[in-house]
Amino acid sequence: MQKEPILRVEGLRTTFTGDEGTVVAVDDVSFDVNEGEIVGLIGESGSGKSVTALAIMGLLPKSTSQVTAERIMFDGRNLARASDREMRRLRGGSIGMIFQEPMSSLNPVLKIGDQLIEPIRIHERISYRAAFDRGVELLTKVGIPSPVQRMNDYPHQLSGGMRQRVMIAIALSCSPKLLLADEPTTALDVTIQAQLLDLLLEIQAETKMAIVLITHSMGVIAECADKVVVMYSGRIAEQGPVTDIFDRPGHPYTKGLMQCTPELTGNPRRLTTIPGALPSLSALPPGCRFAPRCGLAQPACEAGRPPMIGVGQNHASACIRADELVASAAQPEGAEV
Amino acid sequence: MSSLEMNDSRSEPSFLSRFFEGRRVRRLIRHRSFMIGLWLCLFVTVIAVLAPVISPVDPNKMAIRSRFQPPSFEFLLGTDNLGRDLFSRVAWGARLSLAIGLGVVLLNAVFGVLLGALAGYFRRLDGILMRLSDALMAFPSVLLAIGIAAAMGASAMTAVISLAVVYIPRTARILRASVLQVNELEFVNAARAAGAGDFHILRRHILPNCMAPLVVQLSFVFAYAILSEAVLSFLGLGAAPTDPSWGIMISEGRSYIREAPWMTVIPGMAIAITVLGLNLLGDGLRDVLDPRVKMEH
Amino acid sequence: MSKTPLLSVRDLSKHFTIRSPFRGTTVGTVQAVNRVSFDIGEGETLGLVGESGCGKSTTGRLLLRLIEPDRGEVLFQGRDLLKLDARELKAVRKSIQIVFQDPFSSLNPRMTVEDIVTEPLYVQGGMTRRDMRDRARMLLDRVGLNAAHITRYPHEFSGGQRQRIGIARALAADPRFIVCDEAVSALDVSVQAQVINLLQDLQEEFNLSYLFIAHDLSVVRHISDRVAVMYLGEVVEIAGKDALYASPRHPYTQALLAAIPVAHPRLRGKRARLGGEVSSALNPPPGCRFSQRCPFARDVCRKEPPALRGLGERHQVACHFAEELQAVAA
Repeated sequence: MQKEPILRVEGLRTTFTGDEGTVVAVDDVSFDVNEGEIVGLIGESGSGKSVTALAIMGLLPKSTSQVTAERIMFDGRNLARASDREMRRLRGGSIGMIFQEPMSSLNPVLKIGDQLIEPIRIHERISYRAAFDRGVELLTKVGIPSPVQRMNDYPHQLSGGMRQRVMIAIALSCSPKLLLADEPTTALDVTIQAQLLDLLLEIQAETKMAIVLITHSMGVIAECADKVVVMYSGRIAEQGPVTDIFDRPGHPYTKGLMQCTPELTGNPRRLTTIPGALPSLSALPPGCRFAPRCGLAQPACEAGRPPMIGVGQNHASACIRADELVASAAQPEGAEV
Repeated sequence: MSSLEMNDSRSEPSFLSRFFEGRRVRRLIRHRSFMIGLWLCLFVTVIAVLAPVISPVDPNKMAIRSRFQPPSFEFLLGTDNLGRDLFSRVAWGARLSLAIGLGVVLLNAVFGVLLGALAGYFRRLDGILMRLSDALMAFPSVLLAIGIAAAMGASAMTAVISLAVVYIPRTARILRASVLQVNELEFVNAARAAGAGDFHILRRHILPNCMAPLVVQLSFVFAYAILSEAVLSFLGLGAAPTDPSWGIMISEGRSYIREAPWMTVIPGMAIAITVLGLNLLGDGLRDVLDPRVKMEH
Repeated sequence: MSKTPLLSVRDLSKHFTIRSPFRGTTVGTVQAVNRVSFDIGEGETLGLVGESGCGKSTTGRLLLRLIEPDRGEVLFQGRDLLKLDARELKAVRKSIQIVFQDPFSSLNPRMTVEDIVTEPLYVQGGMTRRDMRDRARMLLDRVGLNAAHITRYPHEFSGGQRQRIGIARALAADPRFIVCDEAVSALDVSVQAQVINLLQDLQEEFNLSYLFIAHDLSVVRHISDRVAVMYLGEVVEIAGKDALYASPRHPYTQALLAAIPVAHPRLRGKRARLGGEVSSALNPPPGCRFSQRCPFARDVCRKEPPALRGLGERHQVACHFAEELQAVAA
């Protein structure tokens, strides 16, 4: 029996109210993150992956959004019932965050050092001097050359990759138990992305913190994640251990995602595609939301929401034909999707 | 989180709905201060249009026997020092104010767009045109209008021209900024790659996408023009003294402010209602059409 | 592939001067594109890859004269595009088109799909409105959109559909050559594959040549016949895609390929990572521009810029030690 997970999300639901009425961006999402585990949250635009992270952190604007959840257990506390004050203490404390845009997440008029020291001194009562030293230490840790000088730089003096390293340093400043990284490498070049993923893995191996890595790239998942949660149109399509997901995808969407990414080996004339487009949140299909694009769809798929079916250890898929899919993947030349 | 667009089929859009798409109209209708502004403006417009019908008497008809009548059932808004009916004068004054405001707006639309487009698109003209507008904008606006009006002699036409000169640089600047912005968008490059010339690009691609800030700006120019016209007329530099202008009415009422306060209060309220209406309208348009320029004015 | 290439670029350069905003003095020169040369044959796709700021996008725009080049030649069907006057250029623009990255800003929000797609025809003139409409319907159908939607506005379409509209516009005037400037980069993966397939089908059907500019090396490999790698405004390696991906000669190409995320979690492992930052093209170093990040750099690399030279059949590299690196790798 495993230990209690560091983060357990149950029945998370998020709706937005706007001019076009109310849309459900995240619909009944549940997953666990264990200590020291990297969970990859993958999905395309509108899948609700970023909203999920913001909802967990209580960072969605209260005026236009409503977040409900059965439970969001973090480190023995239910975040779904936590007060604003408690949430503020957790954010940047036990839960660190990194966002996609390394430019806009740093304040352009404050020095790197101040932005690094401030969160440390909010969460811990230590002197400026001690916080400064901690900042230098953190910058060293994230691989920033001449860290003492960098403390006095402004964000615009650093490159995108360096800024993202600073963001990681800020997120690490209070030794979080959980790091939420929302597309941390999407805006960066491929060589810099590789450096940063290596860095995250290194730090994770050292500190044993848990990471939720939000991404749209199967490659990033393949590089880093221990466990994968695949999201589609606000719901979880499939979740499971990373090798199981890659070897025996239990959902046609997961399988399609992997097939339509061009590979570096082989020479197919055409790419396998997923037909159609992502559904609009204001006009969601009934039943399985992937059904209109799915090659395996049956009338039953449109009848109701498919339940999560277990297809392996900790591996579950929201597809009524999941067993077939997994079985076909076990044979080398399985049935095509 | 970008696919909140609608995919349902729609009827063919008319010209108006190209600019005020359905969702924008819905947002405007729900915008409370816009609707208040709209009703106020409609109210003033109806009064102005129907002035000949609803005025009980000729606005310039003097009646010495009924001088300084306070508002009553007989004289709805009272009479002035020459016994002229204030209700008729305010109604006709609305015509004059709206006509002058409209004139300034039209001149602004034509020359502001022309100069703004030239400066924003043909970068070689930018320096000289913008320094020129800087020079004009360096003067306090009313002072400049007074100067021009004084030089040209008082008349309604003078008021229109001088106020247009004051506000055109401002409109041109706003248009220039939008032109610069739109010019950076890829569809302009696409048109260029297709072989389109400058005129075509300006007319088909750039200007239609600059309309939102222009409409917002013009609604404010309208309000300022009416206010400034009143100032000019008050100083005797606007409409001819015989015209029923709100500014002149206030100016005349000034001497009798103790005995007959309604002589100044009534046209003052007319100005306030019109300018308030236009400003609320402009705020609403800005919120819905052009949320970026909130910092202007 | 025919003997004379459709498009032949020689020593194409564009330098931007940066002035101090206060004193007006020159701070430096950004060598955005520096002496770039390549050929593209009839029906061929040349992939152009590199990291942000390497000048790949500028190169595409220089070919179309959306940005005016400083120096060089762009020979298209034997004529130098850079010497054409405005009227001649307009005529040539029928044959050379571009598809942009951003599916949102590349379509005028105030124009209907019909007006957008037929714009090249309208600008070039000589067609009736009815003919243009018919062509627009045909093109929309061809790129996989409902031809009945020509009266709609761009905001009514999804990102992938908008990109198809952009492709239909590029095809309208029957071009020979299309610059695809990160044409699939902004799309979701499930939609990206559809658009890549579409571009390949169209190429076959109309015998188009592409310059396919992208930062995603797997996508470039899939669609290209040959691939050119750019670093800080210069082409460092050009080769057929199989040669380039299987045996890259330039250390930068090697580093780029090593940085691609693995395709399967079982393939994880430590690989040689490229250190350092993408340097700036502002006042580049005198020698090889990659020398600051290159793990194999020697003195000569910091002093003398390496020229692009042939190394095997149709494989060109700009590295002083390409042969030695090859030997080490083998």
